[in-house]
Amino acid sequence: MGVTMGERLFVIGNEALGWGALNAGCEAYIGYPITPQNETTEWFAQEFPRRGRVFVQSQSEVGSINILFGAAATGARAMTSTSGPGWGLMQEGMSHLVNGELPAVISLVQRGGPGAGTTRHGQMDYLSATRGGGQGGYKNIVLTPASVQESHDFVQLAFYLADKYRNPVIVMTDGLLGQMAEPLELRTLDFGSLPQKDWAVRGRANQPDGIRRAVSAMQGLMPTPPHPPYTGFLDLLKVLDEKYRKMEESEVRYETYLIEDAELIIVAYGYTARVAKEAIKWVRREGFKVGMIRPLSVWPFPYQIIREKASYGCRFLVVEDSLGQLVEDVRIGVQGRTDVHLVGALARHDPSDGGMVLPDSVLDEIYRLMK
Amino acid sequence: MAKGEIAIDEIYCRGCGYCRDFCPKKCITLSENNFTPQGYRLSCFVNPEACTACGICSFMCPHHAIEVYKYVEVKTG
Repeated sequence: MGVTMGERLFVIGNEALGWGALNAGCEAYIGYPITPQNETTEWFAQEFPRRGRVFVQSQSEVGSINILFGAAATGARAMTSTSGPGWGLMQEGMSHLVNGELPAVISLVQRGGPGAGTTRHGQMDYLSATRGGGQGGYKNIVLTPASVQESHDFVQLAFYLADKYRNPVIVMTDGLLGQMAEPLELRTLDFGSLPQKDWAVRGRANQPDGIRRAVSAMQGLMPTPPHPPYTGFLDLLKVLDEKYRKMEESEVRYETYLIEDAELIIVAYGYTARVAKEAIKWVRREGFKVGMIRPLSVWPFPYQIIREKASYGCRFLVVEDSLGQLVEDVRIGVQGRTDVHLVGALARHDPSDGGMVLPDSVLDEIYRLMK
Repeated sequence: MAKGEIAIDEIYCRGCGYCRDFCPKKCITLSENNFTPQGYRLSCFVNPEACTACGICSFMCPHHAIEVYKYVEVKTG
C-alpha cells in the first residue's frame, strides 16, 4: 500500500504501532504472533519486506527478544511486540538489553492474566513492565497511549528515547486499543538530534578508527571498550544509576483534565482513561468536581503532580482493568495524605473475559465517594 | 607507563586476528615472519606501553590463547 505523509487512514491500534515504527525509521521487526497483538506481526509481515526492511518471525518470544538484542547491537532501529505469556518469556532478554545498553522498542499489548489468562484485553502487566520484570532490578521507560493516533506517535517517541538513553523502551497498550479502529494521521515527529552510534557492531571496515566493537550482555564484568570502557561491575551500576536518574528528571509525561478545582482526581491510563473521561463529563454536568490525571509514561511515574494535589486534600480514584497495580504507584505519590480508591477488573460490566470497565461503574464509585 | 601486559600462548593461537581487530589501543599485530607450531601467523604484543589491561583481547579470543595481567601498585615501607 503506497501512502504519503499527512494521509489519513482508518486502522486498528495494532497496525498503528507498525505505521509508527515505519515513520520512525525502524529497519527490523522480530516477533511472534500472540493474541491480541497478531495484527502487529501481520502488518510487519506484509509491509516490511516489500519496503526492503527486515521481518523475522522467530521460533518463540525468547527468540524474538534475543534476535532483537543482535539487531539493536548493529545500531539499527529494531522492535518487537508481544502480549501476555510472550511478555513473560521476554523478561530475561529485556534485562540483557539493559545490561548491554542497547536501544530497542518493545510494544506490549496487554491481555488478561495471570498465566495464559485470556486472549482478550486487560491491564495486568503494569507492575511487571514498570518495575523491571526480569532479573537484576533494571528500569525502562514505559509509554502508555490511549488512542490509535497516540499508539502511532508514541512508537516514534519510544525509538527516540531508546536511542537517547541506550535503553529499551516499552509502548504499553491493551487488547482493546489494539483491536479498536480509529482515524490515524501519518506523520513523522521530530524530537531533536541524537548522538552517533559509535558503539554499534558494524564490522571493522565500517568503523572510522578500524577497531572492532563488541557488545556484551555481561557488560560490567567483561571489558567491552571502547564505548564505554567499563573497568568493573560498579562502573556499570554508576552509569545505569545516572541514566535512570536522568530519565526520572526529564521523561515524566502526563496529561491533566479539569484538575484545577477538582476534589476527586481519577488516575488512569490506556483504555480506562477514556472510560474515566466519559464518566467525568457526565458528573461535571451534575456539578461534581472531578478531574483526571493520565500518565503518558508510567515509568517514570508523575509522582510530583499527585503529591501536590494530595497536599491540597484531593482524594484519588484509580480506574484500571486489573486487581490493582497502578493504584500502588498512586499510593506512593499520595504518601498517606488522602485516601486512594480503586475501580478494578472486578467492576467489569460483564463477568467474563470480554467484559469492560465501563463509565457506569466509575460513576457508581464517584457517587459513593462524593455523596 | 604501561598498566599491564598480555601473554599470548602460541600453542593455542590460530592467528585469527580478533585480538588485533578489537584492541582499542592497537597494541597487537599479526606477525609477518613468526608462526605458531601449527603454522598460523602468530599474534604479537607490539605496543606494551599503550596497554591498559582492559582485557578485550582475552575476552574476544575464541581459543583462550591470551592472558591479561594488570599491574597493581603496592606501597612498601
